[in-house]
This record gives sequence, C-alpha cells and structure tokens, in this order.
Amino acid sequence: MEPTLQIIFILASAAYTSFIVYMISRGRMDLKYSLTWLFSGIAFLTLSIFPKLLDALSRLLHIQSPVNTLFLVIIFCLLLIVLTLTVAFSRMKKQVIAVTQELALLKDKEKNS
Amino acid sequence: MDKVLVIIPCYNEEKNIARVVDGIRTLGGDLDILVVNDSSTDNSLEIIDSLGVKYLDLSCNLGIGGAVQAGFKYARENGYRYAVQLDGDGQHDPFYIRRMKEQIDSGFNFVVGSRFIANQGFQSTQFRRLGIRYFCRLISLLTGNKVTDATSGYRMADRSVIELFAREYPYDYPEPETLVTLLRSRYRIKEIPVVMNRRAEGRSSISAPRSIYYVVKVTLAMLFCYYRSERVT
Repeated sequence: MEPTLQIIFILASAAYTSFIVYMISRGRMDLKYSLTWLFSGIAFLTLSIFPKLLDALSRLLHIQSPVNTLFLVIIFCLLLIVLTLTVAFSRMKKQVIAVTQELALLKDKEKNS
Repeated sequence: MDKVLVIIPCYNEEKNIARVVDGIRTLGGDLDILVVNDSSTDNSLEIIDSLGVKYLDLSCNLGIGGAVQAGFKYARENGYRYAVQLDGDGQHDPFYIRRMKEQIDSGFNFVVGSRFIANQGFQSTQFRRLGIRYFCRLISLLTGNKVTDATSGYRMADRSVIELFAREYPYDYPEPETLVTLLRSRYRIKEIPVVMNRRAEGRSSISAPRSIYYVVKVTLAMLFCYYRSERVT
C-alpha cells in the first residue's frame, strides 16, 4: 500500500474507532448494539496498520486488487451491522406490542376498579 | 364462563362502530362486547366510551393483529371460553355468532365465517376473490385441509385457541397464516356459511398497491408457519 494512502487510512480508521468508543463511553450507544460497529473499527484499524494482511487476504480469496478486498471487508461489516439492527428492532417491535397490550389491559382494570 | 366475548378491532370507525355495537346488543345477554380502539385518530374513542361497552384503548397503533391479540389476552385473563372476532366496519352480521358457538360446543376449536359456501351477499371484487382462492389452494397444499374463505376476519375461537393466540399472533394480515398454524397443529376448524355486507362507510385497509405486498408477505408467512410447525410436531 502506498505510504500516503496508508497514513490516511490509519487516521480515518483511528478517528472512526475513537468516535465509536466515545459514543459508547458517553452512553449514547448501547454496547450490545454497538459491538458490531466496534468490531468493524478494530478490523479497519488492523488492516490499515498491517496492510500485508490485506494482501494476504486478497491472495487467499483470489482477488487481484487488494483495494477490492478492502471494499469487501467494509461491505461485510455493513451487512453485519444492518442485520443485527434488524434483529434488534424485530425484538423491540414484539416488546412494544406486548407493552401496549398490557398497558391497555391495565387501563381497563383501573377504569373498572 | 358461558359468555361469548365479541372482539371488535376499531381503527377510525367513528361512522360505523355505534351501529355495529347496537347490532350485537339486539342479540341478547350472553354476548360481552369488547371494542379494541387501535389508537384511532378520529372520534372513535369518545363514541366507544359513550356506548358503555367494555373497551381497550391501545396507546400505539398496533395494526389489526396486535389489536385483536389484545382482545384474546383479555379473553384469557377473564376466563372466556368463546371469543369471536368481528370487524368494526359492519361487514360482519353478528347474527351468526350463535351458530358459531354451536359449532364450538359440538367440539370444534375454531369456526370461520365463510362467504363462499352459500355464495350469497357481498362477494368482494374479482381480483380479491382470485387472491382468496390462491390462499385456499396454498392452505390445502400445505395442510391437506379444504378452506373456502382464507381471509375471513369473522372467526370464533375456543379456550385452547384463545390461549394460543394470546401467546402468539401475527401482527399484520393474520388470517391465512393462523389457519395454517391451527391446521398444522391439528386443531379442528369448521367453516360455516355467512352473508357479509359491503362496508357501510370508509375504505378497506388493503389498497391496490399494497395487495402485491400482501400476497407476497402472507405467502411467505404461511410457508414459514408450515416449516416451523413441522419442526414442532
């Protein structure tokens, strides 16, 4: 990897990861749902510091240009994040329905007591 | 308890709900009416309150499935052995509730009011009938049972089905999907002929562009139900 590109990549990954760590430490993101974000930040940081890993991964996957491997890794991380979010909000939808029904039943009891 | 709980999901039915409730009241005392107001944005809640019936007021709009399930939870908690679901728009004639109850008493777990046995009254549009026939075919393919009106929302449950639905109920377009679940789990289902009316006021909840989504979603839901129930049994 070209040195300038590598420096940009390292800086961008570091900024990205520290922003995520900052958000978690401030309690703005729940750790449970930001694990995937954190994981993606660590992956980018590792790849930017050790670009040889990217080359090795490219050879392993028979991808000619390492930059395509990088895109692949990023896309993989994005898919993982969106998937976990869908799982999370499906759960929440169920919970909201249950809570709303429970509240309606309680309101009814209160009204009749 | 020998009473029947009549669950009426209500979303923006200010023009219809009073008439529907009155229609049920003329039938006599063993019917308990429970209107479930699904966060209507019109005057439905005030009207329901003034009618003096039991009602549940949902604070968020849950859609038909969540509203009806709230009714089943009410039925479970209050010990009802019969719960019938009846639309709040006046399509369903409460006259048939007695007949449904007789079927439950003779040993069926679930009774569905079908437009397509006697083929009288409002038969829906040709396009929808095509969709309904398709769902019926799919149900018979998946379960081996014959159903004529897979999307009918006029249905009565016995105690065992009330308990099942209170635990788990799909939150949108629940009708065909729950039929697959019930049939796969060997509940006894009976269809009786009913005459349905065209809705008096307002529009159906399923508009033309949504119908494609409806068919695809319900088909997938039925297949998943089939798959899930196979693993349970």
